[in-house]
Amino acid sequence: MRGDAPDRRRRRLVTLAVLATCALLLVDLVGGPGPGVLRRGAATVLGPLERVLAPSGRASEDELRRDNEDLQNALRQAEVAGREASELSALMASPATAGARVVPARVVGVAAPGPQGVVRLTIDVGSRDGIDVDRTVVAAGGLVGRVSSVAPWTSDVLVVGGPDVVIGARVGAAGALATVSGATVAATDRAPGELGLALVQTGTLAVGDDVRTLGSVDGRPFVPGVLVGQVTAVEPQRGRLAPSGTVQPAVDVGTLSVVGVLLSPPRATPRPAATGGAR
Amino acid sequence: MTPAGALARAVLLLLGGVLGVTLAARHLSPLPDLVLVVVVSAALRAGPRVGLLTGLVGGWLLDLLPPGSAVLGTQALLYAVAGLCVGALRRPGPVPVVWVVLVIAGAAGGLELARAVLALAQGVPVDVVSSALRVLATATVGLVVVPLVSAVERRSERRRFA
Repeated sequence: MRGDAPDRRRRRLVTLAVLATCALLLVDLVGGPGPGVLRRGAATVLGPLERVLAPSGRASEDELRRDNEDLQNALRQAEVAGREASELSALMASPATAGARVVPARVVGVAAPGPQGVVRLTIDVGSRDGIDVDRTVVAAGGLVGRVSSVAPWTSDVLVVGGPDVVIGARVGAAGALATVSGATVAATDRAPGELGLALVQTGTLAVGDDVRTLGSVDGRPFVPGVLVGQVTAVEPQRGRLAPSGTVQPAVDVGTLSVVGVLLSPPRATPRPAATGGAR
Repeated sequence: MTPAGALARAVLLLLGGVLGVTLAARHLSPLPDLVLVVVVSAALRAGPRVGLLTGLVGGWLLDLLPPGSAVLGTQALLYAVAGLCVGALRRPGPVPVVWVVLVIAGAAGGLELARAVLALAQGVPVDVVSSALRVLATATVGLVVVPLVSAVERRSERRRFA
């Protein structure tokens, strides 16, 4: 049965919308430029809304005097502010931020949590605060992730353990080279929240070993020496050349509220050569 | 669907999306899927095509609302399919609340399953217990929110003819 003209037009519009969505999904999958612009535009418009609605320590003094309910509200907000202040001082005192320029930030948004847990979050600092993409994000405990996109007032962070984050790491006192990512160990062999780790060549891997970032050129996306987590299990090698295992992340992303973005300046001067054996 | 009804749905979707993202930042768990509740409400009221369109818009909102999704359009297509399927279950006349809650639970379960498959395909482990709790929370919230959303939509559509 054929519908009337407005009905057909509506059907055509719906079909067009679905096709446009499929096309954008494909463009984003192959890394085309359009979705990035769309994402930045949406973050510019919607990011400030999230910043306003985010948990905040600020309270208006006029409202505090009105009635008991407002006082309770102020107390709750003061508690949040106190907690954030202690988290911030812990962050600034942690080894992850030692000697680095840090931009403190609050977590203002977490992507719709699916069965895979938290893999993306939004923080309340952006390009106006000097943030750009591929910066290391840390908390007092250790590594949180890396900045994936930046809007004027907010930035999106890819969290360690998500499918898009692969970290070069050093394991244990010997500093064996390894990669930490989702794909290194089968998802069914890990508990939710645990990371997979694989050494790049034969070496020793023991439960309790610290896993730290290897570091990248100019400290982007990861600065060296930040604690990623601890090895919790070592897999039997089962014919593989290098051992693999699972890592318990140093930071519980589910309870995160204050983080720091590390701004490591790129190296601008050539490194002078030194003479070996000189005392 | 009247323009006033569409506007009411868009506002409800925006409210649900922003609340979901900001409440998740407060680490409340399990969080109900408020966008899905609005999509199911629209689909049960107006049928598969409106369900698909509402799901598409709601999904795009989740895709774009910072921090968004890893691949743009994933949530849009998932919610569109959910809206289409739920719309096909529309019954004429008044429907019992139990049926609405069952449909919401089914849609939420389907979405969680699809997301779990996507996560496993990318090598990320999934947490079945938290998924089940989220489905339960969404169905429970739907019990209260669907009649409210329906009332808002009815009123906004009725005002047009007043």
